[in-house]
Amino acid sequence: MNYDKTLKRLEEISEKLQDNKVGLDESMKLYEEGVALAKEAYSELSEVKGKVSVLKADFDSFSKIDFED
Amino acid sequence: MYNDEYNLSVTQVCDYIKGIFNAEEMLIGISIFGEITNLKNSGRAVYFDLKDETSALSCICFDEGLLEGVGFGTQVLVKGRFNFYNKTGKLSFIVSKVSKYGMGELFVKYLETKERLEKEGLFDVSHKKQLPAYAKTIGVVSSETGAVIRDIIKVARSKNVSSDIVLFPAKVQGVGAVAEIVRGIKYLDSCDDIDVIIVARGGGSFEDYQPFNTEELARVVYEAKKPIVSAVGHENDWTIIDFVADARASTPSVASEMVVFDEKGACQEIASHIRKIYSSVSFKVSQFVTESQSLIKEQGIHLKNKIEKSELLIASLVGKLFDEVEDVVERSEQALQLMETKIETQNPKMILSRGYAKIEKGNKAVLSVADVSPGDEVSIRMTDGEMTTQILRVEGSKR
Repeated sequence: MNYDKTLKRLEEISEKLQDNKVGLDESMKLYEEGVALAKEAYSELSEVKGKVSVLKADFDSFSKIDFED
Repeated sequence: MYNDEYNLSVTQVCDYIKGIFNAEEMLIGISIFGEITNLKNSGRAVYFDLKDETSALSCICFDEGLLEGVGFGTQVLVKGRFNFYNKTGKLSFIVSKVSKYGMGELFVKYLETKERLEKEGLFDVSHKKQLPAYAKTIGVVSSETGAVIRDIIKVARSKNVSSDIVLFPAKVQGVGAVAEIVRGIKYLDSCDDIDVIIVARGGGSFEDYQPFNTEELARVVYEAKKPIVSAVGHENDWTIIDFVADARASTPSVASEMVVFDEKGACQEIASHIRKIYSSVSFKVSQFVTESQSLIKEQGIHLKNKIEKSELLIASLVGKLFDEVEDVVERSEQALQLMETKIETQNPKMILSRGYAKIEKGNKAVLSVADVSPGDEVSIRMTDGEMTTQILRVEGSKR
């Protein structure tokens, strides 16, 4: 799932949880889904952070052209 | 008529003649004037003829020094004695003293013509034409017999095998010589393929050279379009055409030497030109290479600077990019944390664990007292279980 969609879904879940009309079972399901989605989003974020730091390190160690003749 | 008494041997007659000359008082210590001609030096003695308009005498001088300052055409007064030489049967005048005696008539005429033509400008250096460096065809006006043409050919062949020699045969002395030489020069001058003309004759007396001292020949030589080399007589014999010609050679061999190009020398010259061209071209090439190298180096430095600048630019752009990405990630994290907190506060279990309960009628949540009536059966859900109860009484504000 894409991160933005995940975040949107989390927002939906939060709104539904605030709706008192939703039954307890439904609320539990929503809550569990929200927690799972948040976990997923965290892992996605950490993956992105990892990629960025790899790219950064890769760029920093990129060998520059040697002009010495 | 035959008489033994009068039969004499050659020696007897020669002795007799010799005696007459020796005894003749008139001839002892005599001085004779005339013009010197046919001058020859054998090394041991100088031989010449002393002449006037109609007569000539053979003279011998054993002392070369006596003839200092006199030569061809000089009018001299000589003192000496006659000697009849038995071995050759010739009479010679043995000269013991020589002094100048006016000038020879031919010589006077020669000097007069020379002076006049010189004044007129016929000898001017500015009028002289350059000899061709590489003559292909050489015209020669000379006698077809004798050593002159042979010498010219011999020298020419020693220098190269390709120059052609065209001979216009002409009388070079005596009656008709001038006309023939003039015709020869004019003819060769009119031929397109002739590059240079040699007018030549061998050594001779001052009289023999007369055709070459004529004004007519001098003017023809002057007016010729092609370069003319004169080669008349020997080193010391100067004739008028020697002054008019574009170049004067002391002998016919020297003339040939002057006009025929040297094949070997020409080849060497060409080789040296080629070497010069080669060295100047290779110099230019190396100069070009050096210049190019320094130019390339210069360009290299420019390029290096550009690349370094680009690298810095890229690094700063990439740095910005990373910053922005990190910002986005951070913002996302914050949004996520916020959301998580929100959801967490709505965790139904957490709410129930604090002692709250959820009341449901059927499967619907009871949110108001209006939702139930006495006698209704509702389920109460707590954190650790569920109980069912019946509504006994309903109070409070009804919707």
